Amino acid sequence: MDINKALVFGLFTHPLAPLVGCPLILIGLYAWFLQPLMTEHWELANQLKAPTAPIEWPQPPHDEQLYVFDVFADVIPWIMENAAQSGSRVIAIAQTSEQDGLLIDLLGGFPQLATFIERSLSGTNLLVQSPLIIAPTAPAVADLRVSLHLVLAPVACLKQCKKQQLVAQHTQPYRDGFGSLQPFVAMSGGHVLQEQSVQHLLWVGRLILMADNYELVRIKNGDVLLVASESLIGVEGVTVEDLPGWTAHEKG
Amino acid sequence: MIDLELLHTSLIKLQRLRISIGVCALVVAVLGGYVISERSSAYRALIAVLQQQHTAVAKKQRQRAQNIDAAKHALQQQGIVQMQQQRVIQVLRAIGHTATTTSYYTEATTEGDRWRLYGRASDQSEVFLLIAQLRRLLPDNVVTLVEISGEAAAELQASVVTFEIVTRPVIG
Repeated sequence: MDINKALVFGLFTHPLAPLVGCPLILIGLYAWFLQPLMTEHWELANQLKAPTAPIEWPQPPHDEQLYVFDVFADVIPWIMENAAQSGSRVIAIAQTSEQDGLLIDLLGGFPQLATFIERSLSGTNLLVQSPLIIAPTAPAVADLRVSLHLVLAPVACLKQCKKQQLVAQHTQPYRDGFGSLQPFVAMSGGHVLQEQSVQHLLWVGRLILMADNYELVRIKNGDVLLVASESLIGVEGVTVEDLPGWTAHEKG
Repeated sequence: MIDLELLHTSLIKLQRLRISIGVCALVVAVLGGYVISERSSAYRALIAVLQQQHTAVAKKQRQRAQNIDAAKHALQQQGIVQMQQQRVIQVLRAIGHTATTTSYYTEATTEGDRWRLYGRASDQSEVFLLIAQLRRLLPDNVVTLVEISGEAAAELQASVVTFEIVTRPVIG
């Protein structure tokens, strides 16, 4: 018998061999089954425990948060409030034919009109679209007329943008850039809808806002315009009392 | 021969020793195996729970990252809107600041990003001064004198100069 084989045979058959074999088997079982599970558990637990890197949540400064208008119906009171506070006078408001913007005609001095524009835009998603026209109403008249096309910019609303209250912001006063204009004095309305005959217009109602009276006039294409009560209207330049619908309403 | 046998453990003793050690080893192996098996099951259950938690956390983090991206996009949009608003306000302020009692604007219109400013001055130098001030107040704009016309410079005191200026942003 080979001496090596005899040695191995002797080791395996030794009465104390199970004392060595048994721990070896247990160590093997531990290493085979338990150790990988313990490692996986440790890694998962560490991943969960590991503090996630602080992600910077983008927050605009509070005073720069925009109030997002969704519909023009909400814009009109805002426009009227700013017009009243800035000293401008709204002559007419209409929606564009594509219903994507507001066309606003205003009268006033340059400082008042510019203040109105700045106040109306600031803190909102309103944008001025081209053309913006600032021109004298007539060569000899000091007042300016502004034709303004406002649109709603598509801005996604952040968490707080709807909750915050829309408050008109105070702006620095403007200097008059249009020369020797006299300080604006609210005039008794301009001449609006100069290209349409009153035969095609219809008085539909009156709006009293900030102590001012406005007439709601439906024009040929069905749009309803807001017209200052003192304005002269149509090609004929008549007052609101001469509009179709007005007398009937009063009598009714 | 007897002396020789005395040197070895008897076969019966050896057999007993072997059986007792074998039994002990078997018991230890069974107990050890049971403990390992039990611990494995416990760890498997724990790992399943942790994996669920891990998936939930990952989902939450993805959602949070998406929300943050959306917020960043919204802020970017707001920034663009505010920039466009500021452009209008800047030009209006510049109109107010550059006018004097003798040089002033008579009309202002926009064509896209461009502003077309018409005005009147008592002489040409005032127009150039006005343009210089406009350029200072509107550093992000190109201010161009499109037209200047009026009575001859020989009658400086009485002359009236009309001008047309166009401003457009450097970056669209």
